[in-house]
Amino acid sequence: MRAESWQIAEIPGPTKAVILERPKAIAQIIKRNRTVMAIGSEIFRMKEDTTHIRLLLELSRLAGAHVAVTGATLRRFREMGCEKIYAISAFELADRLEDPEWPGFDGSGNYSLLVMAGFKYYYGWLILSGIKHYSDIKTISLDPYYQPHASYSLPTMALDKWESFLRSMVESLKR
Amino acid sequence: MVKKDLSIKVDELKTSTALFKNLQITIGRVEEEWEEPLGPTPMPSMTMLRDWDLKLLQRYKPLYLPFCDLCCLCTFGKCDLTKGKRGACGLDMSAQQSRIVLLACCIGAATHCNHARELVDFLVEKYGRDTPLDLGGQVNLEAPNIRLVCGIKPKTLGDLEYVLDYVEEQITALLSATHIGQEGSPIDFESKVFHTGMLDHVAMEVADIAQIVAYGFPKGDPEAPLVSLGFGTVDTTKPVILVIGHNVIPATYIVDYLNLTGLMGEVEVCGLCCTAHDTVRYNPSAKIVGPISWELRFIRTGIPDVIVVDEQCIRADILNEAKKIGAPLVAASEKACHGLINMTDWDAEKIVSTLAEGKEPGGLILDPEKVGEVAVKLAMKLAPQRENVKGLPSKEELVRYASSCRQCGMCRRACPNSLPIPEGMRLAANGDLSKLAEIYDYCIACGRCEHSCPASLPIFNMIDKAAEYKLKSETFKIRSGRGPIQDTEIRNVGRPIVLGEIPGIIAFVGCANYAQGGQELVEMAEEFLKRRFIVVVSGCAAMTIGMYKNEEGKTLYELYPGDFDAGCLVNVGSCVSNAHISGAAIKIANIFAKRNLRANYREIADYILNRVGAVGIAWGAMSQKAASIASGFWRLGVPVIVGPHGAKYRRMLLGRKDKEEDWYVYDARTGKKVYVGPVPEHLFYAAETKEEAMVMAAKLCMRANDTTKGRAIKLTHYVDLYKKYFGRLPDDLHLFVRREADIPITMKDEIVKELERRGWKESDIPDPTLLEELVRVRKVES
Repeated sequence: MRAESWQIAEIPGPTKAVILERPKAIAQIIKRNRTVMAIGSEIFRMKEDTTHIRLLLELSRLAGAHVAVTGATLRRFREMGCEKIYAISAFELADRLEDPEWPGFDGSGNYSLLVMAGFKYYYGWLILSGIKHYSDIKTISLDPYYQPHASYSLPTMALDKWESFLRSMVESLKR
Repeated sequence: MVKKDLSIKVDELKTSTALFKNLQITIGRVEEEWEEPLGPTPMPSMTMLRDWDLKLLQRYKPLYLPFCDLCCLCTFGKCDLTKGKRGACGLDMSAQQSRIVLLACCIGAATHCNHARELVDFLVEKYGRDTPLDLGGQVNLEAPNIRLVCGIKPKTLGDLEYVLDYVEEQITALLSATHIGQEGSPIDFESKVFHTGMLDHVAMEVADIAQIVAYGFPKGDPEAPLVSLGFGTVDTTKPVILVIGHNVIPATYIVDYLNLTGLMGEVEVCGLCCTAHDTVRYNPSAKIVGPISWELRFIRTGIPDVIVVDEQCIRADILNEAKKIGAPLVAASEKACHGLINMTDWDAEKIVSTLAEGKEPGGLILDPEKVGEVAVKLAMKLAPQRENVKGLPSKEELVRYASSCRQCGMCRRACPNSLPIPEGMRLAANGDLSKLAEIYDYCIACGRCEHSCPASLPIFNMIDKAAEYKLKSETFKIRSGRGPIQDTEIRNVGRPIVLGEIPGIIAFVGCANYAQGGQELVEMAEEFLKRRFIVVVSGCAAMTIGMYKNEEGKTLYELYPGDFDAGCLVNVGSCVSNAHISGAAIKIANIFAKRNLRANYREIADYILNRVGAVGIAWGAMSQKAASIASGFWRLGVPVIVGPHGAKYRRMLLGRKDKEEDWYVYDARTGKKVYVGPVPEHLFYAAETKEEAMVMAAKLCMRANDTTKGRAIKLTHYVDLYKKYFGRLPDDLHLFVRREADIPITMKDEIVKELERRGWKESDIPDPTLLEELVRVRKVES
């Protein structure tokens, strides 16, 4: 797999994300950390059905991660039957994550891992870059595009392959 | 700053020969006596308002979002600034990011300032230095930004030269601060960003009032004419002159020449970007094709017979594009020569024949009067020859091109909006153009797809062709830019705005770099109009808002009046007209609240921050000018929301509503420090979706001074919009309710229940200020 940005002109610099290709390993990293999963509004545009969204939510449930939805999409998630999720804007979340004193959504302290999915490429790019430079929190990009500013990223892959990848992650946590 | 003028006042001077009483000697510019006392900050230097900036930046801290890990601005570099590393010059990432923001703002402010300088120099030469700044009987406070910043009341075009001397000196100083080895603190860079923005609004005000008075543009007229907008309004059976840019001078000469020669009506004059706004302010029979993103779109059709460019927002490859359709390019500004031969001193007939015969692809003509004559003659001569010029491919050609697409996906990866072009190509190869036509609605017309295509397919033209039926049906009405807000309008709305009874002023400004198409802007504007906010628009945003019709075939401009009042839609005009939006906020402080304006920046900005519920939405902000315009609003305490692409300005200015200590103000009545809640919560914010932007805009209209009635109205809109998109009450609602009377009556039960759950307690509503010097009782808590 090539560590190549999805948008051609986005060149990050010397510190680039490690590509993760094993679903089980990623799932375990998410589970072992105090994780917040940020799901952006683009998630509803990526595919016509919502299987990928349900897989992400199931993954977070099994891994014990908090889910924060951004871009004023909370209602749509609630209509899918999701109740235990938090709503915040993406940059507000980035701002909070960069503050070591932030108590997190549940008051138990800041997170050790941010997982991101469902963001416009450049939007996610900037958030991940900010966190890379200004906090010690590790990040995983779970979008189907290589995001070099994350600590770890999926490689760029087709949407159907991505969905299978997410399913494998979920299955690995069920075992 | 160093003042060029000297004024000495002596009560009594006794010499060996005479006794002088009340002697006043002035060297340089004579400032007319003015009833308003001179405030503390006339023509402030870079640091004179730093203390105000630091108050803002203490509350709204920068959140930096570096594009990349590097700095490559000098030969020390590239330097890796990752995670706290410093470059060879000692700069860290935060300082580097804020330096880039300052650079962008300097570029933006310099652009407006030089635009203003060209206009003023030209108009002084043409109409005289003593030309009065008459903005009509309803606009006595003619230049609120100039009065506020410079401390002078300009009376004539000549007075504006003096203002520009100051702005130019300051921009040069600010730019010098970005050099290696100068400023090192990110917060001080940010303060300089604010200073640059403030100057930008002064420069824009100079430019617009100069052109309004000299060219007879509408003078604050709410009923400025409805003019034609859209590709489909251009009569292609006539010779077509296309003007592009921001500096209207050459376009006025085209119009004048048509009038002089009796050809008006025989030739179509149409424009793109702000030159189009100002051309229709000069002559309402001209046409606006559209915002900047229609530049490639319109030229590629082959319709323009002659293209005249002045300055700003012109595609750098305009000459290549003009060549492709065989239209000569006339460059009319020293700032954008495009490699053309300087024909300024040539005889007009010689220029016309040279260009008409294709001996040269275009010419640089720095005499705008000659541009007028040449453009008209050229268009008349070329139009009959160009009837069969082919811009877009035929449908058969389109299908053939699509069939040769390799589906490599490079176009999608090059597209700023990652549009599904490969899918469009796949369908088009089978004759189904629907997907490509759909892409048209979201395409910002940058052309990057074509440059990325390894098969060199004319992708952009293919999209245009697929959507040709849409292009041709673009026939709209927009209200011509009216310029300033009338003093009487401010008198009428000042009270309800400051008390919060008009829920807010929403200004849709900026460029057309939309992440999800322009229709989002229309939907947002309509939402706030229906909610009876005052909606103000300018520039490309003003055009986009006019480019959609309702079921009855009417645009928002035909549906809503152009007054500065609740539920009205006010188009102030071009980019430089943005100064009338900041000017309106300043006027409220002066005309309604009777605060002294003259060189009294801190107090007026403090007033606006705490009392005037205004928010800017630059949904498609793209340029450096948009950055400097926004920063001028920030220093005045007006928050700005940008669309997703606006995140690429690399830093936000965000408040922390969870940090109570950030939201204390002085109560000017008692000197006590009082918690007022996070109002306004942010100063610069990139929203991910239009829904998020609308909820945030409604929230950012809340101000510390809102009366209970006003706060209840503002909360109604915030809660209603929040519930619409989040499906529940806002989780920060308790931070915005100060008294039970703040609670909207129609939502009382559910809000009271939520407040009880939060353990909410009533709090005071102070006479809010961040400035100790405005406390009337001199016992300020530390």
